[in-house]
Amino acid sequence: MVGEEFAAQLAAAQGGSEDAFAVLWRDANPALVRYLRVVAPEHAEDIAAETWVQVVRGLPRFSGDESAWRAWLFTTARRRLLDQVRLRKRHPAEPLDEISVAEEPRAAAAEQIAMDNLGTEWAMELLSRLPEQQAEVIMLRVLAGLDTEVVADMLGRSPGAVRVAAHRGLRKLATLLSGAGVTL
Amino acid sequence: MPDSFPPPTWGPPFDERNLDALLSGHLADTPQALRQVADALAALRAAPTPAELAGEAAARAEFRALADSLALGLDEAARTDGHPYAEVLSALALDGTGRPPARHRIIRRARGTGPGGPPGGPPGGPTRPHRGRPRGRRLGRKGGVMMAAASGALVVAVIALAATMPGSAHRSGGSSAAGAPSSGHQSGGGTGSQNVQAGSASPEPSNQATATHAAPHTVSPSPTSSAQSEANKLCRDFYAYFSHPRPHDWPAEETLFKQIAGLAGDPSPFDVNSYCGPYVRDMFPHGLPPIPGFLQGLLSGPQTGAGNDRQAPNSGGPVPGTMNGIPVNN
Repeated sequence: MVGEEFAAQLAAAQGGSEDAFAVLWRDANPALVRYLRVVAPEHAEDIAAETWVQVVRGLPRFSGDESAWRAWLFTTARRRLLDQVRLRKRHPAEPLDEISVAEEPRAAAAEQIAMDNLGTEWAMELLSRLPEQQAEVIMLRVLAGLDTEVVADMLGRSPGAVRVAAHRGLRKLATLLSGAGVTL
Repeated sequence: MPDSFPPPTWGPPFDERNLDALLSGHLADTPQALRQVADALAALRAAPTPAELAGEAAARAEFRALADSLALGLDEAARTDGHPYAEVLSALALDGTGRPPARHRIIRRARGTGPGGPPGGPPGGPTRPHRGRPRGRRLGRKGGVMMAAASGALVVAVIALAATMPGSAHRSGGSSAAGAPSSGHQSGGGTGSQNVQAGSASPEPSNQATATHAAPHTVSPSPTSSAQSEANKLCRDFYAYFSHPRPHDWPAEETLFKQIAGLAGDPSPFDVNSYCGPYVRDMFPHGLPPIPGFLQGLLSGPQTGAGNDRQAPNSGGPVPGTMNGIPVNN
């Protein structure tokens, strides 16, 4: 989190400061990418890039605190994700030779990433085993730092349903961890 | 004193408050059963890897491109409206929705008269001109077509109405010959057909109107104004016999007829209706009255062309109450 400097950095970025924008980007992009790797592992990088394009274009018009900033960022990412899902449904098949390196199956990339940060990658892989909605709620609550109401607004569900989903996800996560006997 | 340990509690080792604390990032007092979960969540929040920061250059490039395009577009808008960059930028910041506003909306907002619009959009979007067709212009074009069609229909309707109105032939004939009384002629047959219609109309203008009306300005039956006034007087005196219910004075009418024909240059045949029409049309709004055939035939020598309408005055003239053999109300 940027913290107290957020308002100044945002204002500077809106005034055209590339360095101020870089501060915002470095703070938010890792969480964004991790969120997308859990909910859309095959297209996380692409969606993240598209998200930032949208955010940059809307930056001059944004107003709000850091919580609102993160909510806007992840909402934009989720919309990009839904667009991607719809696109994939319309065009389900792609020739193999047109798949770029960035779109290669995650397993190969995950191997390298795991070498860099085994704990983070292992945690994301663990969250990927949860039902999609539970994993997404936990990621938005923990990674993005959004409160229950904001997440409920994003997902179009009631705050109670979001809370229940998060609790069930954590319980299942605990069960998975205890059953596997894994320690980080 | 019990000789055994109390039974263990099989309830859940954590509750929802512990889960909420985990979700909120409070990992200090985590129960033992949730310790591994807390560690996994902490790993999710770990410091970013180099791979996760590898896209910074691309993001910066995107930001630079947008900043350049925004500055270009906003400068252009500022030049158009005379507003500084910052003012237009603040107007953009008022948006709250996410899509790029059209340029005309940005300019309107910068003027302070338009509502807020959506944010977001491609670089240079705010400066992109509105691509849609102007609705008002489209409607205006459609309205113009409709107006043209309505005007055409109105003209056709007026022409059709004029053609079917009683006495229209008189008016059109009078007006067509009015500009050329010295050369304008109408056939006897045409006059005969007009007689039936005009005889049944029987207008009754007053004598005062006959005395005070001047000749229309749009016609010039003779080249001089004195000749015009004389023609006007003779015509009105002649047609006065047809415009009120007094008995005809055929000799006087014949004299007037000859005088009028003399003014017109004694054409043969002479169509008095065509010549006097411009002067006396106000006396007969429903069309000029038919002129007896014997008068029309005065200038045509032997009794030719008048047909059955011709009746000599010395033979008693036309039967009172009739005209051209057709009863009239006078």
